[in-house]
Amino acid sequence: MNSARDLKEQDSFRLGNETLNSRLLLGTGRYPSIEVMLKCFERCRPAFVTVAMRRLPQNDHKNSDKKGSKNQSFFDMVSAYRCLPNTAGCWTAKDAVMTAQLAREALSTSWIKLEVIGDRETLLPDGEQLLLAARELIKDGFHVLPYCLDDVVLCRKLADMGCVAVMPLAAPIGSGLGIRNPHGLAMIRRYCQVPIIVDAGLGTASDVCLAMELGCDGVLVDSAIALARNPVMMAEAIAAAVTSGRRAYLAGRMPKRFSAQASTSFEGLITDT
Amino acid sequence: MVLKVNGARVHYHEKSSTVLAFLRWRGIDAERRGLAVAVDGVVVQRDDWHSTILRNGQTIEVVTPMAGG
Repeated sequence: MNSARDLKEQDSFRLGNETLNSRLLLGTGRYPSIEVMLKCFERCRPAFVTVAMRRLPQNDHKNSDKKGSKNQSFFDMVSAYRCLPNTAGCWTAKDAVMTAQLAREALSTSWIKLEVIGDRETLLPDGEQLLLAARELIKDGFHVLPYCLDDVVLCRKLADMGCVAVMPLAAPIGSGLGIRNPHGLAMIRRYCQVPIIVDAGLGTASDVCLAMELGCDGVLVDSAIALARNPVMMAEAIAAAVTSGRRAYLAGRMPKRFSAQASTSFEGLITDT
Repeated sequence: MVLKVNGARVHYHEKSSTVLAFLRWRGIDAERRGLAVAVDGVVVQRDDWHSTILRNGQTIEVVTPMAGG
């Protein structure tokens, strides 16, 4: 039987041309403080932490950050971890491409989590703009990880185009509703050859476990940890759920049955009925 | 010259300037990590900040990583 260490060594997570040491990606938004966020990162050792690109605030010019401390910028504080910039807040392919190019310059990385939002109320992604942006960014040498609907046709198009992974949502961003359409994710697993990282809407450890049990390759979690009553404890629970769910997927679950099947033999019963 | 910087009109006393000189005039530490600049929608690489000339009416974006999901 494989030990947890053997499994980790044998079950490597390949993304693009790299092998990652974790299947967990963490967001950096909505934490009660930078200190709590860093403690969560320390406990989980995520493969990536996501960051958004924003205009430098006027009051930030002196290299200080009121949320942080001791003249460190936000980036200084998170840069011990591998940052994955995103294009959050972009509404068009043009803006997303521009944001990705700025992120590449600022962070010296060609990896980008591509988001193109199509609706202000639901924050659901715009598939049409997403395809346009992904095509242009891949042509420009980016490693693209698109945040998308749990739509197998769209995911296949993104994969065929050359995206290094697809990032279907579990539920709307920040909703914590958990996986609304497990069968959709299972279909993406079956018909899509690139890694799947479930993004958005995961609310707690069991949601993460289910994503991994469905065969997804990783998860990106932000609000579920940041908004938990005890974020550090939730971070630990979610890291454990990633491992647990992955092991269960590899182990292969038993077939489901409509009705009961006794696990104890009836032979030798002391009753005659 | 008048520039549009991060969405706001800025009156800059110089008639001609480089990106680097402009950033310093704004009090931005040009050595700061995680900074990127675009002029009129085109990213200017850090190595070119000292040689890229700004002209009246241009649009400049100065961005940095922030918290996000």
